[in-house]
Amino acid sequence: MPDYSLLKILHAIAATLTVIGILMSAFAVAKPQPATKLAAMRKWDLFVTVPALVLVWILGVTLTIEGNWFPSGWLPLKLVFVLGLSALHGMLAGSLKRLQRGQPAPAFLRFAPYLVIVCVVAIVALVETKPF
Amino acid sequence: MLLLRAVALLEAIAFLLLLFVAVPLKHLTGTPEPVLVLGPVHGIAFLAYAWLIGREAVDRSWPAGRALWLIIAGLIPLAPFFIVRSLPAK
Repeated sequence: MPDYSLLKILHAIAATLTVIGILMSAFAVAKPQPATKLAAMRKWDLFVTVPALVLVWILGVTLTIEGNWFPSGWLPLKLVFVLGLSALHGMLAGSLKRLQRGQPAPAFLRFAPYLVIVCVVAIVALVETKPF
Repeated sequence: MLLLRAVALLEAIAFLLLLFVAVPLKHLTGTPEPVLVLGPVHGIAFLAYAWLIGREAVDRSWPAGRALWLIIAGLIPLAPFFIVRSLPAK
């Protein structure tokens, strides 16, 4: 099993790439984009963001087991925000497909960039302070 | 849709193995390893399933209630086998 701090570094890199990808998708859905940009966005999403998201979850579960973080109170709360981000990413991926076909995205997703920022701030604050 | 069907089946099988093989083994024979392996496998498969439901729901304009029901049903043993049959072929 690789070193705990190496896993932590890989988790942080994968999480950074995931957040960048979700934020890019969120902006592409919130503001009208030309078809060529949408095609490039979908490629980035498929080849970078999705694998990074899968890695985030696999490494996150591994770190939780390795570090015995299960009893900590902040972890379930962090999971709520991570699940929210993952769900938002799924909806954004579906929206990009719709937009590329010339169909509109759901109206509530115009707030997606703000939701991403709220989730990231909450996750980072919980991980860094581990308040309970 | 093919990916969603495959992940739903994987999730269902992992959940059944976890409930009916790994958990009894842990409590009856004191062997925790199968739970340690199948627990995360089922967790990741469920997340992938929920993510794909979210993507398909937006892409195909499913009502939010249907998407939510499909995600909750993923937590019921055997239910994903019926979900797979109810999903459109393409």
